[in-house]
Amino acid sequence: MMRRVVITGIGLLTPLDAGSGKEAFWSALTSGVNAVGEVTLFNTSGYSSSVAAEVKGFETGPKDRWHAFLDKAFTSAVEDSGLRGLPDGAGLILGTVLGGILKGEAAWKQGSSLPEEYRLSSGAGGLAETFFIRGPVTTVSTACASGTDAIGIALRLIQSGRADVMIAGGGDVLSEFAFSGFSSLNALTKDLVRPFAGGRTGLALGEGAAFLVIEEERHASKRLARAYCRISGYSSSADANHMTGPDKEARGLSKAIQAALDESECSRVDYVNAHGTGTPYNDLMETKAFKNVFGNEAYGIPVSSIKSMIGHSFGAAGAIEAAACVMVMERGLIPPTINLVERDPECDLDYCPAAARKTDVRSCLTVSAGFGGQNSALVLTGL
Amino acid sequence: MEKKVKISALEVVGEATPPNARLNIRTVYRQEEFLLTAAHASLISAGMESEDKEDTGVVLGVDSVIDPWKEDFYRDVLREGPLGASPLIFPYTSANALAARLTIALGLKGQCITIASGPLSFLKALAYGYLLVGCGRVKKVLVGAVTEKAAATVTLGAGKGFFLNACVESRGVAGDATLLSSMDESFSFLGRAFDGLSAGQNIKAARDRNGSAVTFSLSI
Repeated sequence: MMRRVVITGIGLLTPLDAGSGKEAFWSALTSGVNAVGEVTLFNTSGYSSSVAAEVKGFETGPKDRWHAFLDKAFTSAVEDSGLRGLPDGAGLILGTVLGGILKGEAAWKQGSSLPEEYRLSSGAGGLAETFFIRGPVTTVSTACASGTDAIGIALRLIQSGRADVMIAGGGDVLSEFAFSGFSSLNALTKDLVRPFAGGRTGLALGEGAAFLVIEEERHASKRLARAYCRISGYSSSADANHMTGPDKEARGLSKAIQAALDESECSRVDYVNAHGTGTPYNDLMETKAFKNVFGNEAYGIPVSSIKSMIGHSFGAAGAIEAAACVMVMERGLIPPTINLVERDPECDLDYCPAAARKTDVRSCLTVSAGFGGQNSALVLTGL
Repeated sequence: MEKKVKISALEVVGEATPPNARLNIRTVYRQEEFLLTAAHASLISAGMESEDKEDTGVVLGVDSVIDPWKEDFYRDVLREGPLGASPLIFPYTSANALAARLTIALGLKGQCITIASGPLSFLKALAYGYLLVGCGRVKKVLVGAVTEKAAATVTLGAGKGFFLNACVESRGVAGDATLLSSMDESFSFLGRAFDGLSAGQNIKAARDRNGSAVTFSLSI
């Protein structure tokens, strides 16, 4: 019989809370606070956009910004789980897209060699050393699905008996490197992120980090841990279509969602946390995926995109969104998709516009999609 | 619970591979050519060339191969400002770009994961691929890795003559584990493991300087 896996801790750092903790995050999220604003971390002159969602007012100390984000979110997650030190054999899976890119930018500017903190693997390596992690330690980088895939891989390791406790999540920082790249693709909005809206104008970059403490269910109950919910399904797929554009018929994402639902033995869910970047192609593709999988029932399932508030934080996104789903299930309140004023007739599902919605949520689907045709889906269910 | 999984022979393609032995396909970087050629050879060796690959997964290890591409991209931005950012090169600055390229070129639509864990990335990819096939999540997986100099691939769940009986990642292993300082060394390490196979199981272990290790067992 497959081992059951529960979430016992969440920790996050986002533009909504700046490291103040999950309650500050939740309060701002459910109030529909818009964290997208003028970029202050670098000069945006000459770019088509000047907005992003920055983590403001967070003291990084002597550490690189990325490593500081990871440390904060990781520590918060472990504290939230009630674990007094990590058990022997506990492992870590970190999802990231650009890792210590700020160190890379500095090195390239100065013409110096790349420091260790630049490496994608240095984030997980640093955490492993600081927190004496003795189990599997891996960095996964699947573009904007990295955080979701990190959680999925951790799930598989526990299900297979390789570990009883895993900490999984993701983190990325805002950089001119990424800003210039997305700008070159004409993907950035000039003002607001409007997922699923008519006339939506693109995404806003963000930054942050989030981790979940994931445990084998009996291990959690033996130590009398509070378990938030189960992770009951996960899958990923490849569109095999294009380096940046998704499959417009949403076949890949539909496949990942269906496989995750099949594993969870759920035929429908009470809430969908969408990838919802606010780009014309992604939001349409996702809507098609939900209709492909749920048929007409899709119209009765609330969907929302928190990227409307916190922008797109790459490797952190899937992990932040999974943590948000945990809180949705715990508190029975669905965060809104803000800025959804003008409707798109092709995106005609219930995207929870404007205000948070109180409703019982016993099962949740969260999806991510990334460059290169990456698609990932996680299903969370109540205990 | 460990399970015996079919594994194809290791294919390695690099600078030393004659051009006429490489796949004739348009690429942006030569490392794509290495990877696509090796992957194509692995699929042929596993008898998978003409079958439907709708559910075939990919697990790819990368380390520093895209660093020069990232540097080139950013130097153009530093030199020319926003207009220097290349929309052609930018997608290749994501670590999953080569795995994506593989899926597009070969029509592989199953699970697609890129591992970026330093010198052990290839062996960690092998460990995850083994877990997926061993647990029955996926029937067949192409596992590979790319460096600046070469690419290496195997298929799991298909192949003739070899079996992977176990492949586990851990931490804190020392002893007989071979220290690998680069992913290129891991290609040679796995190649020697295949070459040195004798009757019975052959258990090998490799580690990196940060304390991670992968232990695996091959047999014929």
